[in-house]
Amino acid sequence: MTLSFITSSLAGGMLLLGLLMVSRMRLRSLVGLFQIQSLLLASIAAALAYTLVEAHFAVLAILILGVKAIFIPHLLLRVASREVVAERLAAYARPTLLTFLAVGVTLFAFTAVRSIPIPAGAYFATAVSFALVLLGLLLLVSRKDMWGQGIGFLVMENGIFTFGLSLTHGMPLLIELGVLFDLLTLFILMVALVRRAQAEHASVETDYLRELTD
Amino acid sequence: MPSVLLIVSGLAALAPLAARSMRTLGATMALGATAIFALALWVAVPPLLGAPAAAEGLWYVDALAALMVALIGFVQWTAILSSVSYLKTEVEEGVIEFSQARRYASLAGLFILSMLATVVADNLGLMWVALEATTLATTLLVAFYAHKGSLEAAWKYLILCSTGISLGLLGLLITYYAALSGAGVEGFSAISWSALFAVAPSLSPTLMHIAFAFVLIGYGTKAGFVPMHNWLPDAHSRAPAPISGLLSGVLLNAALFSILRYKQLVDASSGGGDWTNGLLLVFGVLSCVIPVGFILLQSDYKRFLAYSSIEHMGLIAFSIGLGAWGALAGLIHLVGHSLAKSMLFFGAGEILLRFRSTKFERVRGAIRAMPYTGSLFLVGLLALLATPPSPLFTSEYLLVARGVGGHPYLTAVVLAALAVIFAGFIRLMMPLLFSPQDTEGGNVETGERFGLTQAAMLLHVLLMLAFGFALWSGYAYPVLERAAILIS
Repeated sequence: MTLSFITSSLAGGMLLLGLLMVSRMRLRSLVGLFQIQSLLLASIAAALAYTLVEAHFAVLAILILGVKAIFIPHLLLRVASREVVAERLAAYARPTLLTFLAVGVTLFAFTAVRSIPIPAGAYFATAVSFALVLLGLLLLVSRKDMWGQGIGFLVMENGIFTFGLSLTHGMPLLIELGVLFDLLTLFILMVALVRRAQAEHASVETDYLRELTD
Repeated sequence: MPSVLLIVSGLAALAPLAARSMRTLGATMALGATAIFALALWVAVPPLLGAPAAAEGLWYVDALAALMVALIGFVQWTAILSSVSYLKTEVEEGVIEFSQARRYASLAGLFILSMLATVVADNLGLMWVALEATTLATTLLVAFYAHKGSLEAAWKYLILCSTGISLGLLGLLITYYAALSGAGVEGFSAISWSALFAVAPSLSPTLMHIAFAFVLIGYGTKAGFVPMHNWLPDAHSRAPAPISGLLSGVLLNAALFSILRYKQLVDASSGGGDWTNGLLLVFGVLSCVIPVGFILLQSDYKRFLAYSSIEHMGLIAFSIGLGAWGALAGLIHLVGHSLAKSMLFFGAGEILLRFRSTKFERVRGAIRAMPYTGSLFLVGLLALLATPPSPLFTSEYLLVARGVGGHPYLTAVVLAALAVIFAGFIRLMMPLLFSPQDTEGGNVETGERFGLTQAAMLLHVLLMLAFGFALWSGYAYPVLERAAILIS
C-alpha cells in the first residue's frame, strides 16, 4: 500500500464521482456527490500527512474536510431549502449526452497527460486532476442555473487541489490557506448573488441573465 | 517598504467603515488615497531611477513592478477623489444610501490593497491570492446598483474571472512542479519569483510552456483577452464610474503584469522569447480585431469604453509580443491607456449623473451642458485616439515601426482595426459632445462647477501631457527602458 497506490485509488474515486455528477439534475444529489468527492480529497491530504509525517498536511486535510466537505455543502443546501429553489436543475443537453461528453473529456485528459514530462507513478492522479478540471468546466457551461454553475466551479477547484496534492505534495501551507480562504469568500459571494437572483427573478436560471448582449 | 504601503492600504480600506457622515467619509477616503499615493511613489521611484531591485521576504520591486505601483498609486488617488464627489452627489440625490457609500469606500480600499499586493508580490502564490482577491472585492462593486443588468454582470464577472484565475493556479502548480523536479528547490523558494528566475535555465521548457499556456488563458481572462472577454463589457459598464476607471485603468494591467512575470520565467527557461511572443501576438491581434464590430454598433457609452479597453489591452499584448523594443512601446501604451481610459470613465460618470442615462441617444451637447467635463472628456478622447502629444501616439508609432519589420500582415490587420475604431469613436462620441440638444429632452441643466472629478481629470491630462513631452524630449526613455528590458 504505497502512497502512490492510495493517492491513485482516491483520485479514481473522485473521477468516478465527477463523471456521475455531470448527469445529476437534482441539487441534493449534486451536492451529495460533491461532498463525497471533497471527502476523498481530504483523505488524500490525510494519507500524505500519515506517510510523510508532516503536520502541515494534517492541517490541510482538516481544512479541506471542514470547508469543502462540510461547510460549503451545508450552506448550499440550507440556502437552497430556504429560498424554495426548484429541486430539478436544468441543463443545455440531456444527461445521456452530457455523460458521453464527460467520458470524451476524460479520455482527452488521459491522452493529453502523456505529453507532460512527469514520473510514471504520477500519471493516473495527474490525469484524473486534469479530467476533473475539464469535468468542472463541462458542468459550468452545460448548466442553466447558478447552482449548477457554482458547483461546476467547485469541482474544478477539487481537480486543481488534486493536482497540487498528488504531483507536488502541496504548496507551502500559507499559500494553501490563502487559496482556501479565497475559495470560501468566493463561495459566500456566490451565495449572496444567488439569493439576490432569487429575490429579483424568483428563479436562479441564467436565462434571465441574458440582457447584456450586443 | 512595500509592507508599509500595504498596511496603510489596509487601514485606508477599514477606516471608512467608522465614518458617520458624508463629510467624514469623504475626508477619510481622500486622506487614505493621498497617503497611499505618497507611499506608492516612495516605493516606486528608486527602482525606476536605477536603484537595484528591492527583494525583501515576500516582496520584490524591480523597475517593472515599480512602474505598476506608481501607476496604481496615481490612478487610485484620482479615482478615490472622483468617487468622493460622485458618491456625494448620489447620496444627495437619493440614488444610494449613506451605508452603501461607506461600503463602496471600504470595498474600493480592499480592491486597491489587493492590486498593490499583486504587483509587489515576490511569492507567486501570494500574487495569485491577491489577484483573486481583486475579483472578490470588485464583484460587490459591480453589483453595486440594484439595476437589472448588475446581477448578470456580477455573476458573469465572478464566475468567468474566478474560473480563469483557477486555471492560473494550475499554471502555478505546474511551475512549482517544474521547480521541484528540475531545480530541486523546495517550499517557499519554489514559488518565489526571484528564486525561480535565478534557477530558470534548469526548469524544463516543456513544463514551463504548458504552465504558461494555462497562465495566459487563465490570467488572460482577467486581462480581457479575446475570446475570454465576455465579462468585461458588462462588468465595466455596470460598476460605478470611478470603479470602472480603476477596473479598466489598472486592474487589467495588474493581470497583464502577472502574465509578464511568468513570461520572464518561461523565456529564461527556454532561452528566448519567441514562443511566448507568438502567443501574445495571437491573443493581441484577436483582441484588437474582435471588438471592432461591437464598438461600431454600441448604444451605451460606458460599454463602448469597456470594449475600447479590450482593444487597447490587445494592442499592448501585440506590442510586447513583437519583442525587443516592442516591449517599450507596450509599456508606454500601458501607462498612456491607463491615464486616458480612467479619466474618460470619470467623465462618463459625470455625464451619467447629469443626463441620467448611459445611452448615446439620450446624451447630446455634453460640452455645452458641462463645459469643464465636456472639454476634458474631449481631450481624453483625443489622447486615447493617439493624437500627439499623447503618449499613445508614441507607442502606436513604435508599434508600427517594429511590427512592419517583423510581422507586416499582422500589423496591417491591427492598423486597419485601429482605423475603423477611430471612425467609430468619432461617429459616436462627437454627437454626444457637440450636437445641439433637442428641445424635447432639453430639460438638462447647463453649467457646472469645477469639482473634484474635474480636478482629477485635469490631473490626468496634465500628466499625459508631461509624459508625452518627456517621451518627445527623450527623458522618459532611460526610466522606461529599465522596465522594458525585463520583458523583452
